[in-house]
Parts: sequence; structure tokens; C-alpha cells
Amino acid sequence: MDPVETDRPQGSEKVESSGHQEKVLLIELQVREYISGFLWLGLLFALTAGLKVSLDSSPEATAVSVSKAPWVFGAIQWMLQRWPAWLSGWVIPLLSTAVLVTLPWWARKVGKRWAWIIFLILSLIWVGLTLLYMFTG
Amino acid sequence: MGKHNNSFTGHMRPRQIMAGALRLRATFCLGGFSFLAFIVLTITGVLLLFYYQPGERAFASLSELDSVLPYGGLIRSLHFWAGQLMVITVFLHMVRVVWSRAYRPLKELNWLTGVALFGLTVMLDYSGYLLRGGQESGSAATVGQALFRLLPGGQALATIFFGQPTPQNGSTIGMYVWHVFILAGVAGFLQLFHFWRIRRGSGVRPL
Repeated sequence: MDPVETDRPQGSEKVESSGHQEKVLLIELQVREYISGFLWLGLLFALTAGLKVSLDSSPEATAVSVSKAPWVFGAIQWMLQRWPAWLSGWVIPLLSTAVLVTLPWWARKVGKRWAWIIFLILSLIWVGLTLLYMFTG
Repeated sequence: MGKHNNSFTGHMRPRQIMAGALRLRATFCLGGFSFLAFIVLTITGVLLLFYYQPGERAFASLSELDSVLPYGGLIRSLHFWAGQLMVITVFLHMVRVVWSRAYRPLKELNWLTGVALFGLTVMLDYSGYLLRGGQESGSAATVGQALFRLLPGGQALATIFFGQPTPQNGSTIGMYVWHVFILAGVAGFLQLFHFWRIRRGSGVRPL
């Protein structure tokens, strides 16, 4: 069903009941969006005010002995330190991406619960390795 | 206004939505937070463009921006933290989508778009890290280049994506173009397409 705009009068909270799905005016959602948006911006400003973002080491300085990868690539960096680069840098990330891309197909093939379990295991591995690298790597 | 509005805006902002979509657990606002982060990133990124110089001057220009320009450090920090929050919220949004099975038919294309957006967000974070222009960015560029060189024709691909960074400085004009124009542009376009598809599929469906 396409969302089609109509010229209905605004004002009442519940304006239509279509089948079993009750409908409300978009403004109800917008109010919630604005409130959460302001809360999110508050968190962003709190982070900005509380945690200073340092500069890198100057290119002119004596070479740094330890250089950490950006945290988003922490999992890959953790694997690169242990396994061959082709495996850690290409095969595992591409296989993981392939699983994500084909998740709707997996849901049809093995069921929605198993699709969730597959996704959960994959996510936990990547998040776990990222945290492992951030705090121990 | 006519009786029916099939325009892009009409699809994006219909007057009525399903009541269940108002529940917090329907979305946790994670998609909206990700888009808000993208808006903050775009605004702060445009402001940074006025002073940042890619290449050899990258580190020096950021250092001056941080210490000399009024509010320069604030804008850079906002850009940095909005980028980190965007990676996290896009990932959590993906978890919510799988949990609520919102990838099922009619929304499969939107799932694929979302996966592409997650990849683009990570690549934007990485390319932004390289543009910092210090030794850490040089090391990250070196690792990335080494991975590209494992592929057939990898040297050419590495040059297209990274330019010619040094081990002490990952910032290049090429990386700047990728970060500011190509990756950000494609991510912006895909987000609009993503939202439009959500509305075409009757919006967020409650569990």
C-alpha cells in the first residue's frame, strides 16, 4: 500500500482505522522525533565537551612506536596480527558481508529464528573482536 | 494541493502513519539518529572545508584549526563524535531491523540499501581517519594499501582510492575527494532512497 496524501482535516489524534491497523497523524511521530533528536544532540554535545579529540602524532615527529588502527577496523586489525592478510582483510570480511546481504534468503531457507541467530553470532564476533582490539590490542 | 500527492515529499512525509510505529520499540529512533548524525557531519564537514588542506598541509591545517581558529576545535570534535555515533547507530539500527524481521519481502531492496549504507558509513569513518594527516593516519593508509595490493590489479586500485600517501601522512587529494564528494554523496543519495522505500512499503510496521 502506498502512503497517499489526502486532504483530510487535521486535529484529531486518531483519524482513520484501516483494516486492523489504526492510523494516526504524522505530527504524532514528528513530536517524538524532535524530542529524541534533541536528546541525541545533547549526547553529542556532551561527548564533544567532555572528551577532547586529540590530533594525530605530527608527521614531522620522531616515528611513533605503537600505532593503533581506527576502532571501526579493530576487528580486522586484530585478525591481521594473527592470520594471513588475504584471510583477515578480504575473505572473512567479504564472507560476513555476503551473509548480511543474503540474510532475507537465509530467513526463507532456514527460518527467521535461525536468521536472527546467524546475524547475532556474526555481530557478536565482530563486536567482540573490536572490543578485544580496543582494550587489549 | 491535489487530492493525491505521489511526489517524493508526499511519500517521505505522508499525513498518516500506522499507530504502532509511534511505539519507541518500533524503531528506537535509530534510523533517525543516523540521519541526524549525517546532517551534523555534513554541516560541520562543510565548515571544515573552509580551512582544511589535504596533503602535506593536512596536519598543520588541523592543528591551526584546533588551536587558533575560534570554535575550530569544537567543530572538529563535533564532526569526529558525530561520525563515531553514526557508525554505532547504523549498526544498532541494523540489529533492530533483523530483530523485527523488517528485511522480509517488499523490504528486501531496502535491506540491501541498508547494508550498503553501513559499508559506506564505515568507509567514511576510515577515510576521515586518514585525512587527519598524522603518523597514525599514515600507518592506517599503509595497511589499507597493502590489502588492496593483494588483489589482481591492486596497485592501480590502491592508487585510485588512496592516492600516494606516505607512511607519515595518510591525507591525499584523492582520499579527500573520496571522503567529501564520492562516499558522502553516494551515502546521502542512498539514505534518501532508503527513506523513500520505507514509506513506499507503508512505513515502519510495528512488531
